[in-house]
Amino acid sequence: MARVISQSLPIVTALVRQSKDWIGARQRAQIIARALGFSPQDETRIATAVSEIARNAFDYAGGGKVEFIADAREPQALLVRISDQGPGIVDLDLILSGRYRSPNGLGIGITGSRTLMDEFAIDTRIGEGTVVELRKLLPRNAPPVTPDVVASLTDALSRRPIDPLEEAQHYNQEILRTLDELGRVNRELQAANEAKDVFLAAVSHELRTPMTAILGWLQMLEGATVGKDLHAEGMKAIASAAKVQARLIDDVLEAARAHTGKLELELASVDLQDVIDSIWSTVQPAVADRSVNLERQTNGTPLLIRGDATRLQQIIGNLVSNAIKFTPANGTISIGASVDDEHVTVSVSDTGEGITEELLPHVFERFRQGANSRRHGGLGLGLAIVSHLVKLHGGTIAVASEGAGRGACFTIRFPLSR
Amino acid sequence: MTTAPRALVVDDDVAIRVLVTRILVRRRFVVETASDGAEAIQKLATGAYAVILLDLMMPRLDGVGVMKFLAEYHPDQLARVIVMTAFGAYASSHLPAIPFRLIEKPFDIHALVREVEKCI
Repeated sequence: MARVISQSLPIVTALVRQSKDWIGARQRAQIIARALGFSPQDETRIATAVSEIARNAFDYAGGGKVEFIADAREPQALLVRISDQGPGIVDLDLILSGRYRSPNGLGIGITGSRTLMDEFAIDTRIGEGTVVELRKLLPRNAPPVTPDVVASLTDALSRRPIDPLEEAQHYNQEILRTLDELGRVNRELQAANEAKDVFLAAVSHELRTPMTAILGWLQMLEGATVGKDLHAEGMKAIASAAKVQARLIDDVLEAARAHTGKLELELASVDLQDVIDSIWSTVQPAVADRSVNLERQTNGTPLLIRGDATRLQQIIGNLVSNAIKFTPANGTISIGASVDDEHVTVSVSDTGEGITEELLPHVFERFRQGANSRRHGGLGLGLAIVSHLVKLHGGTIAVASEGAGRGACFTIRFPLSR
Repeated sequence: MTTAPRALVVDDDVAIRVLVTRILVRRRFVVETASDGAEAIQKLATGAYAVILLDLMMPRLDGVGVMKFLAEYHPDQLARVIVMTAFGAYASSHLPAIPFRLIEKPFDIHALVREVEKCI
């Protein structure tokens, strides 16, 4: 007969009788969380939730106990049960609804702890006591929790003295680290927010430009004395401005789809030489218009990858159009391609305006644009879309530039299809 | 016989250049165009214009650069400038010391003509 393994494996029980005990409970929570494979952030979340509820037990019920239990069922979890035999919590419903206005801080720990854990259950009986169960799922890559693992953890905890001073110092350091982290996240959010404002201004500007042409020409054509030639010219201008607007809107929608993970590929075997051929002929008018030289450094070797031909054309086409846009007359743009045992590599380099050191790490982020490229128009979405599409193909994209005025080189690599 | 007044239209967007040119030609202007600030400065260095229609956001040298050039070398021409922009706030914040006429894109072509008439 197979041995039945109990799925709830008690790790340790800690009594909370003095104020230093809830600090001890916090320390144990941290040690257990680390031993079970939780991330440092989750360690802090668990330790904070446990210490808040244990402190409540001490402050409002005069004490209680904290049981740490490993739940070995799938998905594996850490369960912490904190119980007391105090007066119970009269305003529990109000507290849990978030509408409770605490006169003395009571209840704040409960709602805070609830947000830190995956599951939170509370049972309170007036005059009898309160039981709180906190559950946090182990990370998916955590090692399996076996009775042996739990036994050695129990053993380690029993041999480790609880030192409230050590824990308090540790706690302080944690708070400082958290403050640092919050400061960094805040700065990032601010930067993202500013980039978004610039983006909104750019959208407004870019949409207004073709709109000016459309509305202006419509107003001209309304006049009674418009000749046939002017009428034709106006209609052509309106059509072309409307196309520009449609493309801008497509870009915005595409970026939104990329951001929400709704871009999908139609995969087939694709030879990137064919893609480059097609781009080569498409961009000739722009090349002639801007008087730049376009070079191709590829031998005829097939560059076979698994991908979506339309999207691949979009990726390389965008890099080439960018190069043309930022390269002054008589500059040179070069498309290179090579293949090795594992990868197909395509590079697009130019002798154009280059990318400043400050912008370089951010070129593939949405809404990021250099001051110069803002003057060239566009929304700063192209490279973010390109980078997303490259990743969807399992590829990588990199950029190099020696700085403003010194050109740029974009390199994309895709896994070779065999 | 009076000679036709000259106008300079500066915008990197060809559709706007053509539109404004047509509007002014119908009002008997002789129109020259420039597709960025650098080209505009070359023209402004050698010729005087009755009216200068100036976009702000342009590659190479933007409209702010053109205004600064005029303030330095041809301050008399500043009163002839009409800034055309989809960025009214940008214009106000970048050109605090220079008075200028402003028309926001998209504009009513009659309003544009009225601004032009104020210049001549």
